[in-house]
Amino acid sequence: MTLFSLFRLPRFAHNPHASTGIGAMWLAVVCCLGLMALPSCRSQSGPSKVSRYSSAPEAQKITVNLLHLDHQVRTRGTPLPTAAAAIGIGMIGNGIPLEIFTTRINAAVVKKLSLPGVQVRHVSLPYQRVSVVIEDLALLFPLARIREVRMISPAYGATTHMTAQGGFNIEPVGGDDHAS
Amino acid sequence: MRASTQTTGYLRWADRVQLKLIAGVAALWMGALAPPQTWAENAKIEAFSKAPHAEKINANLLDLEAQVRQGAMSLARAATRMAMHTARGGIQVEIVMNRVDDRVLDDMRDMGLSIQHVSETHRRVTAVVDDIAVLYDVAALAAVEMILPEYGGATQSGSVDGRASEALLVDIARLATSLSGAGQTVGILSDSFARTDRVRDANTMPAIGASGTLRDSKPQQSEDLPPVVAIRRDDSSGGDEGAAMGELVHDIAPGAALAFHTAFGGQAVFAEGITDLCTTAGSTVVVDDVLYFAEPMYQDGIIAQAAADCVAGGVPYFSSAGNQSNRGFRQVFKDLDPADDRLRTPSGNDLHDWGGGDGFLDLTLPPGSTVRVVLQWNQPFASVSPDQGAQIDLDLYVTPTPDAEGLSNPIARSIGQQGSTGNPRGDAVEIASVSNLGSSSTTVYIAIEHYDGSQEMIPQESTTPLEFRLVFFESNFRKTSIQGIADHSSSFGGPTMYGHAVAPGVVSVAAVPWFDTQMFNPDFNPSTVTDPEDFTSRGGEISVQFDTSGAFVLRTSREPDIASVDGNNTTFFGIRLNLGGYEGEPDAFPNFFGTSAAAPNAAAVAALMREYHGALTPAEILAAMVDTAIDITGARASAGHDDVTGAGLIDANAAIGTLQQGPNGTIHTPSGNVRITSGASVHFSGTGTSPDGHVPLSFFWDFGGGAVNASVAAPGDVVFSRPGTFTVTFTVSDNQGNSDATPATMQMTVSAPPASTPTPAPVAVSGGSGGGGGGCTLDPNGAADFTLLIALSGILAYVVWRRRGWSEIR
Repeated sequence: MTLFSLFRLPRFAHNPHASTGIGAMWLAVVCCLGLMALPSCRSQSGPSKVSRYSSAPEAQKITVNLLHLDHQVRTRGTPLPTAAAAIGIGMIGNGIPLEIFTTRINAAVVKKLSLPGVQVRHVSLPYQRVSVVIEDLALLFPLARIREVRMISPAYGATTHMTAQGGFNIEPVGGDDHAS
Repeated sequence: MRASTQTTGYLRWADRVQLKLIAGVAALWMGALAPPQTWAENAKIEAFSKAPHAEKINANLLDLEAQVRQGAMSLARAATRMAMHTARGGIQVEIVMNRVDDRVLDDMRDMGLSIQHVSETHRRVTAVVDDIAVLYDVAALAAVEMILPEYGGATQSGSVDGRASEALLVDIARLATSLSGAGQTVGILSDSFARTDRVRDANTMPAIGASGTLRDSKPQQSEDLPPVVAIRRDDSSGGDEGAAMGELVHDIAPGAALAFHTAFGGQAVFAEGITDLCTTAGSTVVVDDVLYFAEPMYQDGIIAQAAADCVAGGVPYFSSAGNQSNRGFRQVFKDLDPADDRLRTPSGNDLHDWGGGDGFLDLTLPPGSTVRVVLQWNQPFASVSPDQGAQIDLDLYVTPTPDAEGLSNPIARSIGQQGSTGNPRGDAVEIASVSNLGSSSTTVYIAIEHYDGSQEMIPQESTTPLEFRLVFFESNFRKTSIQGIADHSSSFGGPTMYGHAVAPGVVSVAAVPWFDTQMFNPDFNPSTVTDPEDFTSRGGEISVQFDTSGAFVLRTSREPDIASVDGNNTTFFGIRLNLGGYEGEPDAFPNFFGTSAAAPNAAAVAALMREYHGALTPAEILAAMVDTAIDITGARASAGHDDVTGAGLIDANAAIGTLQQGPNGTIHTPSGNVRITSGASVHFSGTGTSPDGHVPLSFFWDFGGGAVNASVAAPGDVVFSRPGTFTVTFTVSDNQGNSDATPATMQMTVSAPPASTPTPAPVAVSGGSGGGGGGCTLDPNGAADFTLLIALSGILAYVVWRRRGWSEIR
């Protein structure tokens, strides 16, 4: 029906009867607005990656890779180190290192973040970040529910630029990787 | 012979007859006493040279001369290998004299010696000679007793000779300037400093992981580190790479203090550590060798911002370029099917086209290896600019098969949630890792899927296409077969440098193995090229497209900035290099390879430069290094500034040389040009100053041939014996051999005495009145005294001017 109307729009627009012409013009405007809205509607209402793993509102603060990791461990039984390694996350002990980005940071916020099972490793006042390690990925959600938490990402770690060997035709190996 | 001439100098009071007699007797006596030793010395000397007077030249110098003459190697390199000090392309020698006077010094200068210091007290001359063959001429001078090489003081610290000092020509600079890094503090950021038992023993303080002043660690006991090191924060993991970096710094700048802060523990720890070292710890130079995989490529993250702030605060900052060679890609995103832009599980149609319609990049891993793949695209990070994250969402897949089935069941995938056009969100980074735990090679496939947002031009800037960078971090370094990267040349792959190493003002440092530098390559000849390390990261023109607020602001830089050497010895860190034929290798010490080693060597040179001129800005230090760098043109590198070694290998001697300021000389008397008649004398005196404080100064008066030149500041009365116009030049030199670039000059016009003419009778003039009277006797020839007699009230004043020529000089 919409398509039919669209095809007939020129005819309607050039209708010698004024009332019909104006109506056609209004119809055209509405249709155009609708068409223009389609892309943005798709962007805003398209299937969120987050929604694949969780419908909880706080899940929006958690990086999808962490949700995917939780999903793999919880539903597929993939060992955490294996699943974490696949997305380039190194383990610290038996836990996953996280970077928690906050809207503000003070002692009260740090206290809120210090949930049982959450090991706070570094609090950065200048950068409003907290580095933590968690062994139970379920802790992601209570952490995300804290109002001051803006985003939770995995800590992908770092490497030094040393090689075990160098020079020509000598095989070096990677640097001193660190999960951080 | 030696004894007799020494006696000559000692018995200056003796008249010539007595002197010759004593000398002759002494010579005979000494000659009779020591024939076996003389024979032995002569035998060694004759092995190198049978030239007259060669016996005055130290056998090692003769050996050096023979090596150079035979074309075996350059003078500087051969001298360095013999532990002799070199300077500005020549070698420094010490000449023992039996007398020191202006004439013999002039003779030496005429032979091409650059005289650096003259000790009349000890009758020694320190000089630099560019052509070692000249030493035979010098030895022929009667005043010369002996010519010795200058070995200088200790240039290495501790038990281990890293050889970076020689490779970077630091030793030459040190000779010229006596620099040690005194007064400087080099701040180091790495994994850890004093955690392992390779660094610690029971006496080491403080406890593992604690902050404080490090004392009594093993490298400190062997003097390979300073006796105290400020540990601002250490890490509980890591291999003490920071201590190894400290050893390298200490080798080159043994007078510099060290401070350490771990870079591990998160990006915030790293950034705060930079700020701490640059401010609270008082570092005058900072160096690190760490990269966080998720540091932004197209925006300055917090580490880059901290490093840039450090530089803006006046502290030079050096960072390793990285070891990823050309193992990466930078490409404009090209969708296989732009019309297919579905948001769910990828069909295989919405992938980046690697070429020829292929959405999958082959990656073949050897057994037991791991490859980490970092994908970023030109969008900002929400972690940096919270309200302005990425507006384009790309995902990274590692698949077992190159098809839709592989995408549905990937080996690894990184599918972070970014935003869409108009809806910024998240960080524009995806990281995946794949390992081959099997016993044979396996091939996997890399796919980049467009999930959301623009797929052509980026939303923030309508003329900038969506591009991405992919960097591979391989545990099996360079053994992974990556489709499209056939070898390590710049024909393939892309830049792999990113993060804070390319931040504004930060000096990114590439690596060249020490044993391939001119000083150590045994096969080096003028046409030889030095190769960079195969692994040193490729740079080129790197663009950072967003400011810290997330706005599109394009900034480009050419990376890396400079190259330095790696592979140097440490007491505990690295691998034992089995390279026969290279200087001293294999030896008992492990060699530290990687740009991690190159960066501290560069930073140590900067410490020397800052010691030399404390007011030097980071930009001035880099400019001096770049302007004087030795171009590296070997494998992967090319003439001029290239993507692999930047401006080239640091030449510490030349870089510091650009900072040197020559002394200034001033002629005090006479105060201007002078006209005299021949045979008259003029009083000369001058002084000099050294802006660098490089004293004592030496002086040289060149009278332009009108008189005998002089080598003192105030030669006093100088007689000009022949007519002519002579330019007098007063040159001051400092103890580094730097001379006044604009020496003071004046003109002497010396005229012949007037021809003798009949002497008219003196004219008597008298006059006066009252009780006074006066008289004057004039000699119109000017040869006689000019006499003026004045009688005033019965007092006779008698004034005499002695006239010489046209000028009254007394």
